[in-house]
Amino acid sequence: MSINCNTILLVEDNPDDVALFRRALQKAALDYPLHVVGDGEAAIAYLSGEGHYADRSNYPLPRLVLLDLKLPRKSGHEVLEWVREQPETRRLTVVVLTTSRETSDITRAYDHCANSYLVKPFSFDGLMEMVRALDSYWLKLNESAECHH
Amino acid sequence: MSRTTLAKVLPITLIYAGCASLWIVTSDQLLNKLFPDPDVLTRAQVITDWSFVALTSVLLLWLLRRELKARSRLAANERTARTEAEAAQQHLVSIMERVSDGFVALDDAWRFSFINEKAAQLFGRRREDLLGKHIWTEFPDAIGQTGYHAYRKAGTGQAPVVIEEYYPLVERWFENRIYPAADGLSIFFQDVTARKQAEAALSSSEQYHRHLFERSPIGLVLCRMNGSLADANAAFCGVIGRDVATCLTLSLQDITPLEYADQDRVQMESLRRTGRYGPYEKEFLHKDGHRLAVRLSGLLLDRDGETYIWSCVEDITERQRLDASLRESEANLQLRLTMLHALYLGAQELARSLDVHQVGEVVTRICVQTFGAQLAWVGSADPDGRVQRLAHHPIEVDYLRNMQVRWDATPQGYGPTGQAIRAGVVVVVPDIETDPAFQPWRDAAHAQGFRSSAALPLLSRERAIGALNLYSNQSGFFIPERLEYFQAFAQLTAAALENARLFQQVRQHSDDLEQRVTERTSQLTEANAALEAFAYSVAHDLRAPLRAMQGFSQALIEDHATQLDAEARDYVLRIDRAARRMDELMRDILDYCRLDRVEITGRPLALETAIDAALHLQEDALRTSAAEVLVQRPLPTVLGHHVTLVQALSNLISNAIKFVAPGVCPRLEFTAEQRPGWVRLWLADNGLGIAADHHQRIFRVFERLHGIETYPGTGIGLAIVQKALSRMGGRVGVESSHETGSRFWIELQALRSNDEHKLQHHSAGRR
Repeated sequence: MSINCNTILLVEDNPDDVALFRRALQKAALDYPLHVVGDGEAAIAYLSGEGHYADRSNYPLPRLVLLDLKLPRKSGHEVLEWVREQPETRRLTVVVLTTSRETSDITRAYDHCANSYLVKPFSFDGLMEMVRALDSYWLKLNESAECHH
Repeated sequence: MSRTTLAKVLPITLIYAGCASLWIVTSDQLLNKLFPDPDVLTRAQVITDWSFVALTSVLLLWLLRRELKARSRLAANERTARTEAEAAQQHLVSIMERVSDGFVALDDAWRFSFINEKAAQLFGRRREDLLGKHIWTEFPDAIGQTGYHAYRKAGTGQAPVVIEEYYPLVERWFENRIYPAADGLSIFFQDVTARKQAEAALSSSEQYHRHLFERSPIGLVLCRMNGSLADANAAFCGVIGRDVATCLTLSLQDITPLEYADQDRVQMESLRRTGRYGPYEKEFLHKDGHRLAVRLSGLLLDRDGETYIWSCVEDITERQRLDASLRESEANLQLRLTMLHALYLGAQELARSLDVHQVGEVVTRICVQTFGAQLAWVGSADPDGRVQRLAHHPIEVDYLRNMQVRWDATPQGYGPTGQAIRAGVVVVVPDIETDPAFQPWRDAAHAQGFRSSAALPLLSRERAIGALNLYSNQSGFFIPERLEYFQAFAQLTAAALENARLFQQVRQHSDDLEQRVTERTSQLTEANAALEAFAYSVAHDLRAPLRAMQGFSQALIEDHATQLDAEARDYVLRIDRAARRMDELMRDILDYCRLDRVEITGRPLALETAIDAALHLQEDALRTSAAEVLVQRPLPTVLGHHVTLVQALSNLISNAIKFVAPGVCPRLEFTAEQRPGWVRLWLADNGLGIAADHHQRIFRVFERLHGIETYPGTGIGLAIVQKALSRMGGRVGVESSHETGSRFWIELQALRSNDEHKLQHHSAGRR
């Protein structure tokens, strides 16, 4: 099992959001390796190490998965369910990052053991604040099952 | 001297001669023996002689005295007798004169030789005028009359004759006893008026009793011990339809039906034992041969040494008829009660039946179980002329299995059912065996033991919609008294069937309607789902570009500020603001829409907790505006949904902070008011206030009272509050004026005692 204990996997189909996320990381001076996949199937392929993702030195299992729910091909929920079913990925830290505030989405995500559920902040300032909080909590403070400081 | 005197004297003389001779013979010899001395003897003889003389003298004296006494006594007796005879004669005459009864003596030539005063009075003549006169000369009118013949008879027959005659002069009855005598007739008149009156009275009394006997309305009959009739009154004879004379030739056996022999014997025993019998009831045979019910009682009666049975006979035919009629009317009443009860039960059950077949089942069951029919079936008149069977009871009877009944003019339509439906009248078949209209079904009915039948039309709005058909194993079952109730029941049945039919129609309509509602609901649900999908899409897809607009406009300002002039920077900032406002607007719309979709269940909810949560949400705004918040604690517990209530309160707080005059520190005060069943929470502010015209408007979506520049907002906040409260079963309102600020209120259901339990349970669970 090779987990790069800094890698973040962002599952996001909107290039604007990806760009803004990258800028926020950059502005917050957080230089974690960021891998981006644009749909649910790609996320599963990445996490299961299929195809070119089999190269774990280039595509290691991430320390943190930021998962959008509304995704092409396979939804974020399906991805989350799949993750929790696989012995290798079941303990991955998965934070849902979505625009939905629907109760059904929130409860379903927690039912499948999402570690956290975040609604995408509207403003960039909000995004900055969120990225900092993610860093301080999930990447620094929180003890993950696979990575030990 | 008479011979009797000689006869009396002669014995005395003879006794004397004898005694003297005996004395002469014996005295000397005796003295010689006694006294041998001659001196003594001589003396003794002298004494003896003298003694003899003395004794003889004494004897003579006694005899003479006795004779003289007897003679004088005889003379005295003779005198007395004469006097007495005279007195008696006088007395007799005086009696004859004094007695109230008359006395007349006639000599052998029919002449009055004696007539007393009374007799003279009876004849109305003076005595001296009649004495010595010839009776028939004096009384020529009497010749040929009763007295004449009696006198003649007594005179010629030489035997006493007694007659009774009325003497109008004295107005009295006399009994004439006519005694024949050697020299005529002696006639005694004895006053028998009293006896005659008594006799007359007795006779009248007898007549009276006879009258009573004969006229008695109760039959009275006297019969001998062998049963032959000795006497009978008209009432008795009338009972058995004979005249009295014929009656008396009959015996009780002649008029008693044979089967009463035993019963009569029992009564005879009672009569012999106790002297009485009855009362008991039996029958007599009338002359016509028909029987009459009678009630008898009587007793034994001895008359002239013979024993009779004295009986009272009462004709109770009428009474028995009345009794029977009473019993019949009682039975009738009982029948009516039963029928009425059944009708009541039927009405009750029918009122609950809303299905045509169920009505049929109820009706037929009641007709059999309660009304006593053998079989009942209900048929409806179908338009094609058939009678369709809706129900029958008992269901196991297969009489109806292959039965074809019609109500049109076909052979199957001429049965009672068809007739009843066609004519709309009750058709009774009193005897199935003989009714020709019943011919097609007779064998089947016969096999079931049905004797009579009735078909009652089921009339609805004067049209026969079917028939109630009944069968009985009694031939006279469908009497008018029963039919009356069956008809009433048929009316009920018709009404119930009509109701059931209407109800089925209504239910069909209702089902159709429900079907349509379901379809519409499903369509609506689909539309709603589409709308939800759209809203979701709005939330997700439309907000993403906004976010990009905002993010990149900010990036432009931050990263390329030096390359932009002031105007360009202003444009970029406007893009940023527009994006933010649009996002806010869409978030509010989604909140508002989401209230419709989320499930809201009322739970016990402490108002304080909800207010604290809402204040916490608005913490930043409160701090920024330096608002003063007062919460009047403790606050009651209500029934509500936490998240929804917090959202509503948060919106209200937000408004209270926002809509204040420039430079004024907002002041918020929460107070609660208990109302029956409800809790009203007031939020008073020191804001701008709202004119009364707008109090309704402000709760509508997108209603704004202020320009976006002065007081930014989406115009959805209060609409959300109203929807939130309405989803929790509560209300929202406002009291406000520009002077005093606004007093918003929300009302939620107060917690009842059983809700309290829920609350405790709830908090215990949370602990």
